[in-house]
Amino acid sequence: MKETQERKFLHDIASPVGSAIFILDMVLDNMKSRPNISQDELTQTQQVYDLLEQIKNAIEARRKVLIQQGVPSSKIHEES
Amino acid sequence: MQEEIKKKEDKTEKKHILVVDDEEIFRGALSQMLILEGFQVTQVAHGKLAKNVIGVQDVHAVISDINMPGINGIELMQFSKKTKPDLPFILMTGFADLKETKEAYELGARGFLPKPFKKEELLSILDEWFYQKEDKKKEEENQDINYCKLSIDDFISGHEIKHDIYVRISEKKYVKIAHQGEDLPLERISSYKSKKIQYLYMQKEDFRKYMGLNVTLLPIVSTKNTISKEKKRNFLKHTSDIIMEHLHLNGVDSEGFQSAKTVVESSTSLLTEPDEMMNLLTMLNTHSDHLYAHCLGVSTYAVMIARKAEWHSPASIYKVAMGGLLHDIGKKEIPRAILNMKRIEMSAEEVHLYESHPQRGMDILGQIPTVPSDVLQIVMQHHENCQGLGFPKRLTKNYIHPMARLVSVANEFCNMVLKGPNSLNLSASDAILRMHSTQAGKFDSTFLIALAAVFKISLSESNFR
Repeated sequence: MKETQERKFLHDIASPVGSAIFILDMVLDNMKSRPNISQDELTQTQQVYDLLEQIKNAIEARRKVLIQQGVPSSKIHEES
Repeated sequence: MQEEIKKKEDKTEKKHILVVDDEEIFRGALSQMLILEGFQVTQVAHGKLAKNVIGVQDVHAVISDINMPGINGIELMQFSKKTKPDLPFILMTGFADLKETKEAYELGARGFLPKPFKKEELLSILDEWFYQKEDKKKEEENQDINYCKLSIDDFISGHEIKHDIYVRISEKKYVKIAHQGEDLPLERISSYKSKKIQYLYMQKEDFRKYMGLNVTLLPIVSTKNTISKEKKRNFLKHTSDIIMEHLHLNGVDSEGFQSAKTVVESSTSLLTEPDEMMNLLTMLNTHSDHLYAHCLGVSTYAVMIARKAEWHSPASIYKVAMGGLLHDIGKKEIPRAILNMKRIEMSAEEVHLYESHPQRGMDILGQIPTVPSDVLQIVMQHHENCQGLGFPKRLTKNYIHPMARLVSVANEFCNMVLKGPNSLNLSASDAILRMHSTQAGKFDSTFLIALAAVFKISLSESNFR
């Protein structure tokens, strides 16, 4: 995968991952406020949230490397 | 739970946020999350609609994506800065590109969030804008003019107290913790420190006497061979703290000016050895008040630069030192909350106010007949630069007083190496190399080379234009 394509990929997944984090955050808050929630369901939902957080961190880490390598954003605009 | 929601509602009362993003699901999720946090939210899909909302509605902050069809986030921010300069603006992007970040900050974005981000990251920015700054402003406004503060670290000797000492327990409420003539044991000091107390207080009149005593002792201490250099430096720092506190709290009067003069004379004789330069940096960076540390730093480094530039006249050295110590005196009229902000965080109005401090300083000092006119010029012109891009007058090199050109080098150096809201926390050598490689045209080459020589660094002439 070319570096510029990789940046485009990271850009394309940023909003969907962000949306999923927000939505799951609200779902978790809602679940926690219910008195009779199944602990298994809560644990599994929390696990999904933690996995999303891992994806977020992976995006940040990879993006940092690309920025340090100085891949200009103009290339991405041209490609997309 | 209901109490928690009520608390959120109270906290975010009337805070109206405009969310702008062309990606529907992201925009909807972000807006819903903010609503659950108690904010009022208006969401729009593109910049054109956002312009209308900013124009007609009472919005307290904008959170916008950068890449959108039509008007993009940066263009929207430019519009917002023109129509409502104080409106906080957060830009979001999936690129998180350095170029975009730089451009966004230069245009005045107060926050920059690379997508994806978590709720807590956004809320911490909003919390700082809406509540912490208000708290800081309130704290500044509550400062009592009848008491003067001293760093608690100044009391670690455990010796007999010459004046009554107080702790501040609430707005304008002080409790006496030590009477004149008593000892203040180290255990008590440690106990206060463990309770996060940073300052102890004296009544204003006692403070003047205390300052007088320190100023009287300073020339004796600084010339005494039996006192170690470290102790001399600490005493100089302590005395200059007291004087700066006095000048900032009480205004500049003849007594304060005379005291500052004594500090300057003592510091110029005390700090002469090259190895003192590194020790001085360390000492200044342990200072509890970055503004005072900065003034002392500029004064002493200005003297070192002058000496390296082979200025031999004691009168010139004295004026440079005095100008360095008092160059920021105009900041006493600027709210501390603004002085504690990073420049990129300031609104257009706040920048305007901040940039008035040289003129204010000259006006304050101009009322004292004994202040030399050269010192007034230093105070007025220390933010001018040789390229004509400084403030307040945008003077070019030949129109800037040579002493102001010298002090501006010391000023920039101290901004880079000493703690402060805009500090880069660089080492001395990194700061000098940065000034030389990226900003050489701003400074008078003679003084930048002289500063480098203080730290035994040799600069090439090629970067100077």
